[in-house]
Amino acid sequence: MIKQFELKNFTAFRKLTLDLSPNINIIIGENSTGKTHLLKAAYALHNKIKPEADRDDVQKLLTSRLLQLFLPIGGKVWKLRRQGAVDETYLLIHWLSGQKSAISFNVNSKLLTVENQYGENPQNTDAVFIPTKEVISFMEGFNSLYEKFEVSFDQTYHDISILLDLPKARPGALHEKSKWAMEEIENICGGHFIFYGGGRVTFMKNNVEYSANVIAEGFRKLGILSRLLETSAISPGISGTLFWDEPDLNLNPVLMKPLVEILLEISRIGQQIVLTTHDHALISWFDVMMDKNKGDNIRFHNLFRDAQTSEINVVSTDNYLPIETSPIDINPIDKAYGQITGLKIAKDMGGLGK
Amino acid sequence: MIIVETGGIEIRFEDAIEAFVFDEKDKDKPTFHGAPMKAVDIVAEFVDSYVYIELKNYDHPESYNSDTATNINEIRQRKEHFTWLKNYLKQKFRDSYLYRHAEQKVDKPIHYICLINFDNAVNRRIERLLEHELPVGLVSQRWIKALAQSCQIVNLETWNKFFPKWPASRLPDLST
Repeated sequence: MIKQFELKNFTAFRKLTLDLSPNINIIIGENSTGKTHLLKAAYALHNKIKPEADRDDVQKLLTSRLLQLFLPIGGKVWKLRRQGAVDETYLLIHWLSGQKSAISFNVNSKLLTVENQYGENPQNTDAVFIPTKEVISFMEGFNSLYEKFEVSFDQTYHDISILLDLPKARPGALHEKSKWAMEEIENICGGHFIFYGGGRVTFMKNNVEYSANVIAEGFRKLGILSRLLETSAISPGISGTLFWDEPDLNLNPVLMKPLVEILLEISRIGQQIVLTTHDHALISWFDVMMDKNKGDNIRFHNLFRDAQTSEINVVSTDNYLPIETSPIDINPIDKAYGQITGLKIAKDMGGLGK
Repeated sequence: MIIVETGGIEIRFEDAIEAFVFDEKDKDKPTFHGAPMKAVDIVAEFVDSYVYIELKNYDHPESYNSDTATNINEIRQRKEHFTWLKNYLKQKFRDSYLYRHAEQKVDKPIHYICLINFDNAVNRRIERLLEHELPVGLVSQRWIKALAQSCQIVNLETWNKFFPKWPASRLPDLST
């Protein structure tokens, strides 16, 4: 479980430190404030390392992973450095156990430098990254295509496709809450997805099988979560952090409540979750449904560009209200609604009060 | 500059001809309201318009947002709160308009602004319903004059951003 994540001179970040909740973390911020980069960078470091791997193996593995996740021009790792950076670039995870994983690189570095303690991830488990686009509709043949050709999908799509294609875990190996979540999703969707292997997926409803492509995208997103639980890729209390980039995308607001309920339940039994969102409804659901008596600890991280320096900073809070009432210029969601209000006031009242 | 203090809020009107506490309860003041009618908190007059201002500060803003209720009872309760608030704001405007009619002070367009400590998204929802029900604008072909020219629902931050000539601030709570 990640306690703290530090980035220095990486892509858009000069220096940023994120103190994470062991339960749920919600990252908000305008476009181009680095939300997805933050998720991918933490995901890159959150690897299960084979015990027999030596330092060279780890170095090559992580370099390749970073390149596949970020797809920098020319495949050069140093292209991921912040423009104008003088000092070295580094990414550092402080694990809850007190141990650290860190990588660094510099101008013209071809490989990452792996810090001493890398590989001591105490969980020794893989993280899961759910990207913005759902993958069920194009999984068939995608993995072999990805492995053979240079396709313009980053590694997160390949990784998630592999996890979805894993066989089902034995029922006895699943946590009761995982089974409950899968049932909830089946009830919401009115049926369930069938994964045949090789990326072939269909949807079964009332004993009739449909192409997964004709099923609503919101249902396909929930289907991904259900399958990850079914294969134990997400195994609360055991598996690594779940990173989810914009779960609200293409999700009808009425589906957000059950999704939030499921995420809260699995976080309560030890699943760390880090997600990004632009959606006011999703945040409001978390804010209202969280229950501190049940140990919920939701941390909201607001990324914003400093007006003077243009550098990306973060404000984190365990209570959404301070973000709501923080200066509207650094709260992108409230800012958007505020701008609508401003436009309407100008239209209705002209220059009155200005 | 005219400074008005009421309901824990101070507003400084840089360009007002007149601004006062409309629901004044002090009988000794010339602006004493004194009628058995609802009343908005502040009325301000400008060269080309009047502005009615209603102030509301809630300890639990979420209890008006049915979108985030977690069960049927809560949804029902929050919808009741929301409807009550909308009707309350509507009634305040209409009674104030009638009172001003009797004062012969409805000779300019009237803008209604409610300063409420909800987030912008919730404020926008109330605003849309209130605009419809006040109603705002010429809603009948028989009308030649609007009751309300516009209706805006804003929180303190939004108010200060979009009405820089009328800076508003929360007064210190002397009861604690």
